[in-house]
Amino acid sequence: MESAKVETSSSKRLISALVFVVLGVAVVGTVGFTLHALSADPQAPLHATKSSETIVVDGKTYPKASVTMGVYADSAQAAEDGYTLNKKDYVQYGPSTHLILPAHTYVTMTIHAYDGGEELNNPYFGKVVGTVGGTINVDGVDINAVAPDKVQHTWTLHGIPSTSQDPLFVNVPLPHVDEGEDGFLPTNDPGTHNKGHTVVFSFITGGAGEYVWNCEYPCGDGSYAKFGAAMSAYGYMSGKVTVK
Amino acid sequence: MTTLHSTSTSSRPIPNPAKSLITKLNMGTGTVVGVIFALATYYALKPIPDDPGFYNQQNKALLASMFAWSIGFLIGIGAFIGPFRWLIGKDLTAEEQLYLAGDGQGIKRYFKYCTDHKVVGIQYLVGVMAMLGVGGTMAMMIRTSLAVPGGHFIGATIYNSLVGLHGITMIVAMIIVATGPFGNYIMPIMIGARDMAFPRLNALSWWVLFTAIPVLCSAWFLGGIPTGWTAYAPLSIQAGPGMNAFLATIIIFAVSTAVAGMNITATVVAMRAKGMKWNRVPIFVIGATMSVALAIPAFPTFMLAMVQTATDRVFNTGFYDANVGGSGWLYAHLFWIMGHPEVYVILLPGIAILMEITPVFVRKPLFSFNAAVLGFAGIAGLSVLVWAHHMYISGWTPTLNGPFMVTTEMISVPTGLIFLVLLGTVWRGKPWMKLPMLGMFAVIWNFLIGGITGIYLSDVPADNYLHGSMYVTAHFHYTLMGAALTGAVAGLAYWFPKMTGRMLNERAGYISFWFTQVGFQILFLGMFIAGAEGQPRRVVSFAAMYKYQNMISTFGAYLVGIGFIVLLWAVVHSWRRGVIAPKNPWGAKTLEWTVPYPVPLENFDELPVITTDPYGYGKGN
Repeated sequence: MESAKVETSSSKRLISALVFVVLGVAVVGTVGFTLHALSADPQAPLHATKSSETIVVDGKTYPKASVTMGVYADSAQAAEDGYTLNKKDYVQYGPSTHLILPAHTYVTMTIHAYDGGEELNNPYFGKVVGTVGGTINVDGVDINAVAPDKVQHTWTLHGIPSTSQDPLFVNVPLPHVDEGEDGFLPTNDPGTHNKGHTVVFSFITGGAGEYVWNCEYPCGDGSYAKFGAAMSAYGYMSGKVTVK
Repeated sequence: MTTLHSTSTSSRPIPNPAKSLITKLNMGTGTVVGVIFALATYYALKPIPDDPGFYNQQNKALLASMFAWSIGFLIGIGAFIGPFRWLIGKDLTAEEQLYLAGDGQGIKRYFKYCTDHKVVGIQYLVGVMAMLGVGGTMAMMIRTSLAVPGGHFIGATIYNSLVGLHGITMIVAMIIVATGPFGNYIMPIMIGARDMAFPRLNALSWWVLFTAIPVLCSAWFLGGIPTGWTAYAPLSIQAGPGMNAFLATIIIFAVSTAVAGMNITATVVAMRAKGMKWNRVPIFVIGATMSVALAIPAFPTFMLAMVQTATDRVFNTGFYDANVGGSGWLYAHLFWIMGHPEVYVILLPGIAILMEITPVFVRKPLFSFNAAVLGFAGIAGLSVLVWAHHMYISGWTPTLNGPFMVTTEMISVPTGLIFLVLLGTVWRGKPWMKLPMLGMFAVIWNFLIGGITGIYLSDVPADNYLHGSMYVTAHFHYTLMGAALTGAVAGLAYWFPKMTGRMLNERAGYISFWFTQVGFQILFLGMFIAGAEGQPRRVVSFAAMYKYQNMISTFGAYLVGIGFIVLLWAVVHSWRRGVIAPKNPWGAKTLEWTVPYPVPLENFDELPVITTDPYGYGKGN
């Protein structure tokens, strides 16, 4: 009788320990998946539009694709282009900061850039790097650099540390929009919205891989030497590029 | 340890201070008053959007409201009733003092400003376990994120905050993991005292620390701590509002440790039982006292660094901001003048616990009490002369690297004495392999690896390569977690019967031990390999060449996590339903095993008189 009692007690103990361990793992797992959900990209990815045309570059033939983005001084300006996802009144790229591009493709990218600017921390990012021909087309004129004090933002694409994917580095400086005499950007007036610059450039993707892009002009708020706010939040001035 | 006769007895009136304010105050009233203080302060100083000084004002409002919370909580829980009475020329009545000591209040006393050192010890124990649980959960998130290259699981922003929060949470928890629970509950009984030298300050040290916990947690909601636990300038000056939580936490914590350190030191110096000469003081008491004595000069330095960082953020004073003539190096020096002694503040009590345990389970005297004390003193003394080895690569005066390399490597000598004492005590003995003793063997192994890998980091040329890598992370986890935390867990297993009246479930303890220790080796040996191959620490994304090392480390981390959950179950279950413990289950000779459970309010009916050393196994006494 006594041993039966002990046995019952022992099995109860085992069950309680197992339940406790499962609950413990569940708590830790819940915390993990909550953080995972919080870190998830809230924006739907922007897929490049594939074309049936091809192009020959350096003797190799590539299929063509295109993608269009905008960079806006604030959320109100972005809303004028129909992008209303970002709630904070930060400078931002749109309509999405997650781009999906086809592999081994000649990608033509158009960025409508509507913001003003100051000076780059690092003048290197005023140079055009990694595009076909080493140039970008700004409002119909080909250039290969923007003066470091005339840049509004950059679109700088680079790899994440890995040895298993093709290297890809593209740096595109976007020339700033001159402010009006009243100190405001002309883009604040809906009627002058199109006074921003249209920047067109092309680059060639390699094999499948995950890349990141970000703006190299410190355009956040006063924290982190202007690398806070938009510069350190998801969905504004940085994002990722999936090549597949 | 032999006791002869009594020197005094205690007589207690029955506490009945029904009309006294102190009977109405508890954690709840403290929280209400604290929150009111914090909100009132924030709204009084609220920053105005678009104001050019918005960030300074925001920092000021947040910091002030965090300190207001702490002060308000302490007022609300009744911490200042005694001092207030003194101001008006009165004092607490005897009944009120007994009430403050928690006499006859059951479980409620754990939620009040209670001066009984045993209550404070339990409060520290539960608080430390909660902190370790939170810090450990964050470690699981970090390792899960590092399981595969790319850092996709939680993203870079959350990862950065987790690394900083995990670091500071674990450092705070580890500093108090042994001296908090055991230094408060066990140590006064071990030296034959009725309580701590300053019981009200003892309660104050815990509740001040308690107020730092919500402050630290608030960092989550203020954008996190993106600087890592070192909070180097200028990152800390530029960082967002979450940084204020870090600064306030450290400042509050430094006040708590200063109060606790002085109280423990005063208690050991002034309140030892008659006949307890210094060479009869239990070695845990020696180690814990040296640890807190080391903290007394170290933590105010840290506090000063945080105060100056706060003034940089609020008033643009520019102590550490190179833009306005300040020096980031000054911060680094002040930080590491605390930072390296702090390693030994954590380590010494853990090792001292093992020295306390080993003679009991081998039934042999401690191998050279004097060598043990010399080892502790040597480590404590040298530890204040080694801080700049953290700065070899910072670009400071390179000619001073050599002297700091020498002092750092010299610390191996007193550390060797510690090993000698532990191994000498076990040598040719027949250990009674209970859970506390397993901890001792684990610490010997872990501390050996932590110590030897530390020699390479102390070496300037090798540190040029290893600095800032996962190798460093693995090294300090081997010392802090592998040695100090394992020592503290051994202490928990050893003193659990005295603190709870029940035996810790042994089978669950063994399962936990093997999960944590095996997992620990897998986790950090994998990290050593990745670090030696060049993987940087604190970086969310890593190259594909490190993927197997990281996958192995993450697997090890999960084993450690399961091991600690099992330990938590063992503690909770045993505390509630464990086997009732005899008065002295291990047959030990120190004084805490001479008192019954529950330990009487004033510990001893008759104060003991000491005539022998506490490790006289096999000496016929």
